[in-house]
Amino acid sequence: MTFEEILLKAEKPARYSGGEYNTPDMDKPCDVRFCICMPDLYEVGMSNLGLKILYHVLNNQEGVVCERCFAPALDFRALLKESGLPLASLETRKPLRDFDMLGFSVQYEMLYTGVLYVMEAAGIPFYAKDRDDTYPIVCGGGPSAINPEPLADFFDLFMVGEGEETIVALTALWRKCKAKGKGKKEFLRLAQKIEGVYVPSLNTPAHRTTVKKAVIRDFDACYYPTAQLMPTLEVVHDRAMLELYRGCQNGCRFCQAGYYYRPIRYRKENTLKCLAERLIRETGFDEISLGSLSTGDYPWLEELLSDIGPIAEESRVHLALPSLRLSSFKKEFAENSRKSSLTFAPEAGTQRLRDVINKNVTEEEIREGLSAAFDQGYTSVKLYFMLGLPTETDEDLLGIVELVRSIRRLFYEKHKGGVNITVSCSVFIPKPGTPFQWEAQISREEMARRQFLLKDELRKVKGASFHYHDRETSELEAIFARGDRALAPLIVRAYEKGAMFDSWTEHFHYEIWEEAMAELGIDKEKYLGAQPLDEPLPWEFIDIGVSRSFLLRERERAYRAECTPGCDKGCQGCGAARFAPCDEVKKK
Amino acid sequence: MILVLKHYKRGPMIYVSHIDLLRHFTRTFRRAGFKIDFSNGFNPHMLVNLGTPLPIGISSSSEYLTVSTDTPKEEFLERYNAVAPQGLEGIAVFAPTRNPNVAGRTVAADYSVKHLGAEQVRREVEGVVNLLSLMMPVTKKGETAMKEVASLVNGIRVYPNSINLCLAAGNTTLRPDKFALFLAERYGFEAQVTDTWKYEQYVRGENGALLEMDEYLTSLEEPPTDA
Ligand code: SF4
Repeated sequence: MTFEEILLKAEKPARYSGGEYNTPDMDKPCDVRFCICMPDLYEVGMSNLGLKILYHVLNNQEGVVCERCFAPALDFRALLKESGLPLASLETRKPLRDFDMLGFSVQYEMLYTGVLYVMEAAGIPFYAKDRDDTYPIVCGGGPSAINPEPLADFFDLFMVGEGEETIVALTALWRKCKAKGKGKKEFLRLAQKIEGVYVPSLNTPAHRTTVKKAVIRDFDACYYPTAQLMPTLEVVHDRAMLELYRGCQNGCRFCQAGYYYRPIRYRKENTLKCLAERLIRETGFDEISLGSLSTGDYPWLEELLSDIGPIAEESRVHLALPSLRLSSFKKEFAENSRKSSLTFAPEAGTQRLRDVINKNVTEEEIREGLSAAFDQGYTSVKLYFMLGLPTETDEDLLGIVELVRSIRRLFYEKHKGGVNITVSCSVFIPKPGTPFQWEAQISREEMARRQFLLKDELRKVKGASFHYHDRETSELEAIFARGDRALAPLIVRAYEKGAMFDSWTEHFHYEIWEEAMAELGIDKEKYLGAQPLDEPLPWEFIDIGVSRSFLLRERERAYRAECTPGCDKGCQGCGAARFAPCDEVKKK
Repeated sequence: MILVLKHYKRGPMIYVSHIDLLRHFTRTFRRAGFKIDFSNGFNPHMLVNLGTPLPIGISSSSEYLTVSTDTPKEEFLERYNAVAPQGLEGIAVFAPTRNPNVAGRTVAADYSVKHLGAEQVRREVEGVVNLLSLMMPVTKKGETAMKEVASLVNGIRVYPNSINLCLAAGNTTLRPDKFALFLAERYGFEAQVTDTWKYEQYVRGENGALLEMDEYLTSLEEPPTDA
C-alpha cells in the first residue's frame, strides 16, 4: 500500500496529511533537519504551546528546517506496520530515522511509553547506547525534564528549562560539527556546555555535574510566533494562544510549574496588544486564550483587556481567560467569559489545609467570587480539589462537602432553579522541584477510602456530582515523577508487554506495570514513600533556580500551616532571580 | 448579500472531513478581513453554508460554498486567495440575487478515476448506463448489503487513462471511488481510486436535464447593466 492508500483507510486521515496553513517553507536550503516528536495524538500535541513556539523558532533559523511528528493512533500504526512503512514526518513524509535531530517533547510522566511507541514505529532503538552515528541525535524536553532520570538512558541529551535559546544553540552546534565532520560523541561533549543541556551518558549518578535550567532573560523581547499553525482537524485547544508571562507568584506548595517556571517575567501590555492584533490577522482563530499559570495575576490585566477587547470584538474573536484565581475573579473579567460553567480550584476543603499547601484563598474570597458569578447568571460551577495532601485528615475532606453545601446555599439566596456543582478530585503527587518533593504519597487503599468517603457524603448534597482520578494512574505518575535511572528498563518491559497510551484510561492497564515491576524486582515503595531530607534526591543535580533551602523552609512552614505571601507582596527569596531578573523583585 | 465561492478541495485538504472543513473557511475569512454576517442567538456563528459533502480522499475543482457578506464580489476572490490554505483555493465567485440552496439542489456530479486496463472492457463498462438493474454491495458499519444503484448512474465514458463517471450526488449520493472499485471488480481492471477527481456539479434544469452549477448560479445573478 502507498502512503495515500493507507491514509484513506485511517480513522482520521487528516491527522497525518499535513499541509496546515502557516506551514513555513520546507524547501529552503538547509543542512540541519530537526523533527519535533510529540508522543501523543495530533489533537493533543497540536494544542501544546511549546511545540508552536519551538517549531517556528527553528524554522526561522537559517539553514534549519523543523518538521513535526505525532504519535500515530493504533489503527494507523497497524496500517504502517502492514505496509512496512516507517513513521515519517508530517510535512515532507521523511522517515524519522533520516533526520539530523529528533526532539521529544514529554509533557508528563504518563507519556513515557509514548516515547518508546514513536521510536519503535520509526525503527529507532530505545537506548541511546544502541544508536550509532547513523541514527539521529535524540533529544528530550518539556516539563518532565525537571526529573530526566527515568528517561535518561533513552535520550542523547535533554533540554532543561525554556527551550527557545537552547534549541537554536544546539542546532547551530550540530551544523558546525557536521561541517567539520565531527560525530555525535564530539557534539555531545560540546553540547554539555550549552546552558540547559544535560547529556546523561557524560553526566552520570556516579559522576555528577550540576545542570542549570535555561531561562529566557528578556522575555518581553523574546520571539513569539503569531503566524501559528492552523490545525487540519479539531484539536483539544483549538484557539490562538497568547502567553502573558512566565512564572507564578503564588507558590502553591504542590505545584511544580509554579516553581519550575520562575523567575516571574511579564510581557508588557503593549507587546501583548501588538501580538494579539497579529494573532487575529495571521491565524483567523475565533478565540484567543490569554494564557499563563495564573492569568488573573497579570498585573495589567484590566488595561490589557480594555486594549484588545475592542479589536477582538471587531473581528468577532472571543477572549478566553483560563486559570483565573477565585480572588481575581472580578466582575469585569467574568463578563468577558462565556456564561457556561465556571471553574475554580480551591484544592483543599478547610482553611487549615489550604494554608498548608499555601493556596492563598479564603472562604470569604470564594464566596465573594462565586457570588459575583451567580449574579451574572452562572448556574454551573466546577471545583477542583486534591486528595491525599500532606497532613490531610477526614475533617479536611468533610470540609469539601461543607464548602459545596455553602456554595449551594449561596446560590439559593439569590436564585431559584437548580445549580450544578461538579467536584473533581485528583490525587496528590509529590513532584520534584516543590516543597513537597520529599513527601509520601498515600497508599491506593487509603486513596480509595478517602474517595469513597467523599462520594458517600457528596451524594447527600442535591445538585452535586463527584469525579475522582484513577488511583493506579496516580500511583504510577508518582513513581515516575520521583524516579531514577532504574526505571528505564521498567518502561521498556511494560511497553513490550503492551503498555502504551497510558494517558488514556481505556488503554491503561496497571497489571502490566505491576508484573513488570515484579519481574525486574523494582520496589515501588522506594519511590512512593517519604524521601530522606539529608541526601540529595536523584534529580537535584538539576538546578531550577529555586533553592533547596527555600523549598525546605516552605516545607516547614507547611507543617506549621503558615502561609507564605505571594511575590506581589514582596520577594520571598526563592532563589530563581539568580538565573534571570525577576519582574516581581524589580517592581519594588 | 449572498456570494457563492467556487473552490478546489485538493492536495492535503482531501483528507479533511466535511465537519472540519467549515472551520478552515471561517478562519480564512477572518484572515481576509471579510465582514461575514453572524447568526443571532446564544452562540453566534458565521453564516457560511458548505455545499454537498465530498467523500474523504477525493479531489475536486467544483466545490461551492455560500456566505452572507458585505464584501464586494469584485474583491472577494483575490482577498480570499491571498490567505487561503493550500488546497482550498478559490476559482470563481457568483453573486446570486437569492439563496441558490446549492447543497439542496445538487443532483449529480462528474468524476474522473484513473484506471489500468479498462479500455479492453470499454464496451461492457460503458454499457452499465443502460442496465435497468444494477446491484452493488454497500458496506455500512461493518455490514454489507446489496443496493440497487442503476438509477444513480447517469453516464460512463472510458478514456485511455481515466474513466469519467456522472453519478448521483446530493440527497442521494453514489460514491465514485466505491463505484469505480465495483466496476473494476466486475469487469476485471484496476481502478486507482486514490486519484479521483470531481470536476463538475449539476442541478436539475427547468427542462429536467442536468444543468451545470456555474450556469445555474450565473442565471441567478443580476444581468449585466451595460449590455
Ligand atoms: S525571586 Fe522573589 S519575587 Fe521572584 S519568584 Fe522568587 S520569591 Fe518570587
